[in-house]
Amino acid sequence: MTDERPGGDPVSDKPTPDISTPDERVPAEQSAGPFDVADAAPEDDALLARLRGVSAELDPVPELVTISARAAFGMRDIDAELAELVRDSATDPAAVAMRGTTDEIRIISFSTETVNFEIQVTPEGDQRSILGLVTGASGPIEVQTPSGHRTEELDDLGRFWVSELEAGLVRFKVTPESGHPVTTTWVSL
Amino acid sequence: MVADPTELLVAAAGGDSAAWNALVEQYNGLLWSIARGFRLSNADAADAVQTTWLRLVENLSRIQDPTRLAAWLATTVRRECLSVLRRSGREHLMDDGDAMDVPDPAEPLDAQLLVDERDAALWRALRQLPARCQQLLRVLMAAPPPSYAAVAVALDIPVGSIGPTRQRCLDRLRSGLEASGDLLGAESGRADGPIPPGAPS
Repeated sequence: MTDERPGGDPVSDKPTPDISTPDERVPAEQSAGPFDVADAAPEDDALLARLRGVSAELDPVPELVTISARAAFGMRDIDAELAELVRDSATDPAAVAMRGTTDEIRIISFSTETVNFEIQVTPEGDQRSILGLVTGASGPIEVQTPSGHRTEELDDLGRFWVSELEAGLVRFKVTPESGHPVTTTWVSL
Repeated sequence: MVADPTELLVAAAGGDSAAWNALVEQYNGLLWSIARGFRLSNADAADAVQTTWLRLVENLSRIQDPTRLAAWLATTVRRECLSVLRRSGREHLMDDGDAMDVPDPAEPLDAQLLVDERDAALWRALRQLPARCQQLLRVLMAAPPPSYAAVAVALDIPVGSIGPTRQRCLDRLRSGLEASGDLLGAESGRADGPIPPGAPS
């Protein structure tokens, strides 16, 4: 569920530790404090504390990043089934190796057991245009971003088009015939 | 006082936005430091951190063992960072353990902004360290300080290597300061002042 790439994760060699099931590979968080190794020299701790102070001054977490993190909670869609990312040509190692420039068409797939999304993305500067194909659902498709959404109609073949979408995070939501909504995982376009 | 992340996570899964905000308070600094440790620009780092929180939202109702939340967040943001680097064709940057000969998009973090010249010297010395050292120290600098378990998964290194590597990187930092003629906390009375002669290194 947390691993978006069932066929092997091309981005990281290690799977994401799954917080939904027990996993012995990653130790539980220590409760003893931030530095759970006791042999650190005091002068090292002091130097690191100074670095932390300088870092807080030079590279603090931007306010907008904190606001976005809080706002993420409002994007929770508790009724929707999650369609996982199954392919992304932009992070597929083979596709990346073949790629000459970053300005080519990007193809992204999401799926559940019954619904599939094929998204073809064409960059146009800071904007994106999308040609999509949805199987297993019909009717409207909602194109959601963290700041809003728009609704497009799927045609008879399950296709939809989106133009002038700002680059950034997006997800798609449909309601299949069964009536249970499906939303894709977020992806950065 | 830091609230128990397990309780916060359960409360957030139940719809408590205050609990969610407390989780953000506790871990956003860590996520930011990890993204910056990958030398992502402000915009890319912000994107990776935001995506990580959205991924947690997606998984909130499926969590049964929240004790590894920090590790999960750290791994997720690490993966988002690598994804950003891969999409932009910069993934090789983190493969090189020693070279810093490529422009850092995270610049300018302008040391000129610092009033305290010793702090500026410290930051300049930090920027001269090998990439791996900078990355580790940047994550260890996060506020509030992360657990070693979270640091280990964030950087994909064994927990047991963090202490020794930290010590080695800080030693190199001191050496760099000395070599550049910058005195480390030269003012008397500073708790983090110069290392006394004969101190273990």
